[in-house]
Amino acid sequence: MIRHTEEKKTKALLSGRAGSILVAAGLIALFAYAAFTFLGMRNFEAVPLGSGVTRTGLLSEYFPALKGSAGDTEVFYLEGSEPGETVLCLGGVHPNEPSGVVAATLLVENAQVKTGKLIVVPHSNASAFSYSTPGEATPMSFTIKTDWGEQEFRYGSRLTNPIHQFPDPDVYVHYPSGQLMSGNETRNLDRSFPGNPKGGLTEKVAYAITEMVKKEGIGLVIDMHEARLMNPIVNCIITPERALTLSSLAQMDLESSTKEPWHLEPSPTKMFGMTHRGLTDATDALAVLMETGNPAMDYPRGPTTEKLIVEGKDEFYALAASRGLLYVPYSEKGLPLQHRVARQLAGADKLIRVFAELSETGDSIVVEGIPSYEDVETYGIGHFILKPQQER
Amino acid sequence: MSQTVHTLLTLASMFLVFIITTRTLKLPPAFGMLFGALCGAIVAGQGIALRHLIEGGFMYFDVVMVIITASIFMRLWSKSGGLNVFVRDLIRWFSWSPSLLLILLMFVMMLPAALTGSGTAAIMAAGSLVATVLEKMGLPKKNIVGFIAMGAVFGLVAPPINIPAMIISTGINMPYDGFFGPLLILSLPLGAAAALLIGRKHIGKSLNTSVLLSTVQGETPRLGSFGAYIPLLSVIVIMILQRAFPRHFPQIGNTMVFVIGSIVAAALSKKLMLIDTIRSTLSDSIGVCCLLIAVGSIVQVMTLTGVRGLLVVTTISAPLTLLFVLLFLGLPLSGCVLGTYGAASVFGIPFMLALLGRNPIIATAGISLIAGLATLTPPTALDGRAAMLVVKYEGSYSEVLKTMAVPAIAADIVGTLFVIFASSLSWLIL
Repeated sequence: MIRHTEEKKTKALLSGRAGSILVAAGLIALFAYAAFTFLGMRNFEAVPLGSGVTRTGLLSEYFPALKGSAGDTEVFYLEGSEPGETVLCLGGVHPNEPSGVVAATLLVENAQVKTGKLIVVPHSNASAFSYSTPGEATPMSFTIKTDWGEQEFRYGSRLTNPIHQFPDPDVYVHYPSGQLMSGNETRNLDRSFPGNPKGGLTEKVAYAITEMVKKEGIGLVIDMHEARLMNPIVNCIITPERALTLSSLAQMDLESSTKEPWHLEPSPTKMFGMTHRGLTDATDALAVLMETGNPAMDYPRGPTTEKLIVEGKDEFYALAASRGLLYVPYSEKGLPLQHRVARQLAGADKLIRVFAELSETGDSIVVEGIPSYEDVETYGIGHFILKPQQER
Repeated sequence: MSQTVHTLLTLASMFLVFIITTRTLKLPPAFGMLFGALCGAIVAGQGIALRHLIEGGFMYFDVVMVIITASIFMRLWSKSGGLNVFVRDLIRWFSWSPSLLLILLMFVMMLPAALTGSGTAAIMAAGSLVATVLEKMGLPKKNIVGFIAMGAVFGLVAPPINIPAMIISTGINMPYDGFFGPLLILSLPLGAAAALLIGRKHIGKSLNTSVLLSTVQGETPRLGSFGAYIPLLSVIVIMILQRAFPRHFPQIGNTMVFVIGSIVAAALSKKLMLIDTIRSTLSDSIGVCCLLIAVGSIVQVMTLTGVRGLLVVTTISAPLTLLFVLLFLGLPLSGCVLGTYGAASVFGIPFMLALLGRNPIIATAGISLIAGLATLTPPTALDGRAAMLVVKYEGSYSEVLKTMAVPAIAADIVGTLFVIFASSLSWLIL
């Protein structure tokens, strides 16, 4: 029996001068500790520049209103000696989906462009890297063992930090479609495309990326994500109708070369805001999205630890898989990050190759040096991570 | 030790510590939850997990802000005399039919929740005035709490804004579109029935208008009767403008709406006691706010330690028949810790994913109704407690639950039937 008087007890416990001072002191200590811990997430890990990087810039160069804000982020350009098509790879649109972030980082560190241009944004929603979602208990970072030591990567949130964009409306009205979504989606970068220059921070970031696609004449956008294992849209390439030929050819080749399932999912025509829909509708680019399965995202997961993110092993998922509840193959090996990154890189490599083949100008973009599916599975992610301050 | 056994031990330790602290040591539930969370983290090998206890406390930050600002608004409006004028007019206009007045009061209760998607915000915005009229009509306080809490539940389910349905829709990559018809059918008839079930037997066939009016005397705000309505209208108008012109009117959120309403109410008050009013309001609402912060902390630790995963995987791996039973019983009961949004998020999405063969809009609408009931489940019982707060009811919450039992169980049955027969009900989608 729950009595209202219990609330009185709470108040009584907090009342009285000595009690107040004690509680205030305790709270100050806790807040100081919390502030110190949480502010640590604002320190970005430096992305070492591979020898293929010809220059770096900021997203705000495409939308100056973003300059100095928490939404501004680093852009890496890898340009070939011959002009050609331009491809954009996005990681960290959702910072709690690490295979995309790590894969984008490995592109910056390893790719060599011979013809055309590759642009990479590893931390697309920079603000969302600066905190973790209350209630989700995710680690603030995870560590990858490398040939030279350990590299730490931050594990952020799906949504823009509410400190940078507050408050959420009751209902998020997508611009310009007018589609309604739950209010917190107003901070979801992958529900904000093509963006709004007069909107909130997240819509401004989406707008800057859309402007980049337009101004750079980008022909292909590859957005690397992860999904829950119980989500049917996983292990897949989401493709708008205009990119169907490209995605179908890539998917067939990938299934053959990796011996892994690669589903082709049509981009919903009436669900707006996602990169593949927003950028395809608003620009001339073909925008596709790849999803791998992240065990640290779904509800049936066991303890939420760094180990779960990196090794992907969990007894509860094995149970869920045995009951046919998962949409990804889940063996006793789990779903290690290494495997998920290998898929992302294989997918990006194949999409770029098929895009080049379909180009009217022939080999319009040639990118080499992307770690292969087999090599990442054999040698691990760490083998391809450069030491900070060290350039190959 | 296997992961399952270790997680079960963690869950048992959390439960045990909660029971010891609340029953033996007689601490409030909020402290019981915090100590339970602390113990769970230690047993799970996560140490004191201070970062998680603090971070989890922010899970319901928005709701806490709305509760505080809406309470201040209602208190200022009430002190200005505006509430009295509103209640007098309501009695004058509709006292000729007590049953109709009951149903209209239920719809008045539901309206702010339907517009904001938040039952708590609705209780804080309209609960006091509805309670005042119900009291004059002769309803016992426990029935008034039940009436208001059920209004909040049916209001948060009603269209156009149903946050649980939006959460589930987002979780299964489905646009929040086509829900108006199913949600209207789910909410309005049940709301009207609940009003009569809870209140009808306590009122006579007719009401004595003059006697009722004589009990509602007091201060009149600046600008007289017109001034009484300005604060409430300002809140409602801003809410409507946000919804009607989303691209042109700033989306300021419920917290700011109630802050603006409070400023308007204070400006129209002849005797302004702003600081005292805010202080007393904060003092009254701190219990609910502490509880919400503690719930956030314990949910975060449950997630950290795998307890949440164990509960979810056990639920969704059940056979179909058992799945419906769990939907009917487990989803509302999960609100004891998770609340409505948490229940929709943690269990609603997996339920919906396990039932994808059915019409997803109808099934989601049904699940959202059941998830709505989760806000009444003790010990959290967010909207139940918020209703107790505005009614100033100090009795047992179990007595309130008895008054809500029939309409709540009816809603649970209707919601479950919506899910079971979702494909046959697809004609409800407008």
